[in-house]
Amino acid sequence: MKITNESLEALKAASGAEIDVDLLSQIQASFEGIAGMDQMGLKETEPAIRFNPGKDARTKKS
Amino acid sequence: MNSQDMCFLTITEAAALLASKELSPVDLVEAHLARISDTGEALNTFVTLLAGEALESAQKAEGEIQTGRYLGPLHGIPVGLKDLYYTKGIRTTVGSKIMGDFVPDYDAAVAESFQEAGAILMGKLQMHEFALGGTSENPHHGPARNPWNTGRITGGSSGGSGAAVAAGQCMAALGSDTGGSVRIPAGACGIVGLKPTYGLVSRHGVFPLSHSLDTVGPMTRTVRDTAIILNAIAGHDSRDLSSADRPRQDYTAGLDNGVRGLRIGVPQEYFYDSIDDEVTDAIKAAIGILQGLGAIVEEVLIPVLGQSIPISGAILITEASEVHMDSLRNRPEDFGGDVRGRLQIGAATSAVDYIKAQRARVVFNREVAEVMKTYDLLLAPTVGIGAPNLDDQVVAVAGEQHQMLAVMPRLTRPFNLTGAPTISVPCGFTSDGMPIGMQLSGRAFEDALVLRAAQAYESATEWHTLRPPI
Repeated sequence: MKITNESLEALKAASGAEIDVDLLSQIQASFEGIAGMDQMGLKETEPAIRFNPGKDARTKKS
Repeated sequence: MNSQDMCFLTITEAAALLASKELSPVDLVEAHLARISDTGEALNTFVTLLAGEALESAQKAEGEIQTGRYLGPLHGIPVGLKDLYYTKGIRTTVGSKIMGDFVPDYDAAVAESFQEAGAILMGKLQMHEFALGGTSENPHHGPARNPWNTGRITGGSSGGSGAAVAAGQCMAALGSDTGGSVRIPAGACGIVGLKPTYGLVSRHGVFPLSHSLDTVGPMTRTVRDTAIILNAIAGHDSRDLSSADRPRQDYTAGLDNGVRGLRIGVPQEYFYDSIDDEVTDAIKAAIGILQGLGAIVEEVLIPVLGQSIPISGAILITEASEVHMDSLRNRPEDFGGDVRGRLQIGAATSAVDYIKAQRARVVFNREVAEVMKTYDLLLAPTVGIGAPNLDDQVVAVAGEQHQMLAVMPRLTRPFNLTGAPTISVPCGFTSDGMPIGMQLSGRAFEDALVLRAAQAYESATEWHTLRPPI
């Protein structure tokens, strides 16, 4: 997986800050790590995200 | 007993003296304030010191105890809170410039629990900015420093909590653990730190880092003291979406039942890929002690551990970026550089990849759970090196150079993914005098068994009795 110029521009716009070469390499490494999960056979697995209705928020505000 | 000796009593010891009126809460708090005065500047542990409030609370506790209203083992005990726990009317910075003036109008659930137990809050403790890092080198408040060598880091993110407890500035503190932030500073500062089962302790009023990974954990100088703290803070809370509705239990009850017959697995992959030899040696020695106590210790293979960092990293930084997105867009210059960088990585991670990581987490946990059908506990080092120097960006591990921010949480992250109760206990020192920690991880909600095994190990060793030189 490679980061394109378009995705980099979108990222700069989203995060509001400059992205240097070192950070770009860290982002690239993160993406490669995520791509590596494909070998784990994930297709039949439901993600670990759940919602418990009827419960309040963890903090009232911050 | 002199003032400094008073500061190094365990909670168990101090509670007995307080209950029998042989020790005054006021004297105990004054001793700790003197200790903070002597060592606070060198260690940079407190963001907000509550000296006046602590003395006032101690006088109240003294009156209650003198008139027969003793509340239990935390009554009159000096404690600290990491500066991400909401405290009503008391500034809560979360280690940041962005929340530098934030004063909550309510208390975190665990702060309420401490008050109900009669504990004395000494202040709010240093941390890595927004808990997003394993060093506690804070660009806004300066670095927390390690009491075993003030030129070294404390580990993080609960570094102020680790250093304050190790140095006798308070008898217990609460940290938070999302990727190792209780266990890393516990290991680096030579104390006990427990990441309870995810959902066991309420996170109501705790500033979030990563919703699906955050936990609240005690940091103390002994395992029994950790069990006492857990008794006070564990329990269902409908204000926390993740809170588990389970019956309360006494975590001190079975502490002395030993490890005879318990099966302990020692994962062979991952934990020893990048670790100093003297840490490996300390772990081997600890294994020998547990075997001597009757535990059945065996090597195990869990290949999925190799996916720990990609999975936990993708989940943690994506959830953290969502928490901070407004500030990241509008005032990015107010973050420290390391934290801003990681939040930007999270901002760059797509929702698709986040869901993939949460899917991978299920597969990861399934494979670890399969192993836990055979073993009661897993055993591993806490950090692969002794605490490095302040300002080091790169550290040598087993002769190879690594980014420090990657090294510190490497060995703790797997147990945040599983959500399992995991403790770090002191198990030795490096040749240059820095503490080494060992993790014991159990099955979900078997926190009592984890504490019991840690207590057995601690009882057979003397690491927990050593005081830092400061």
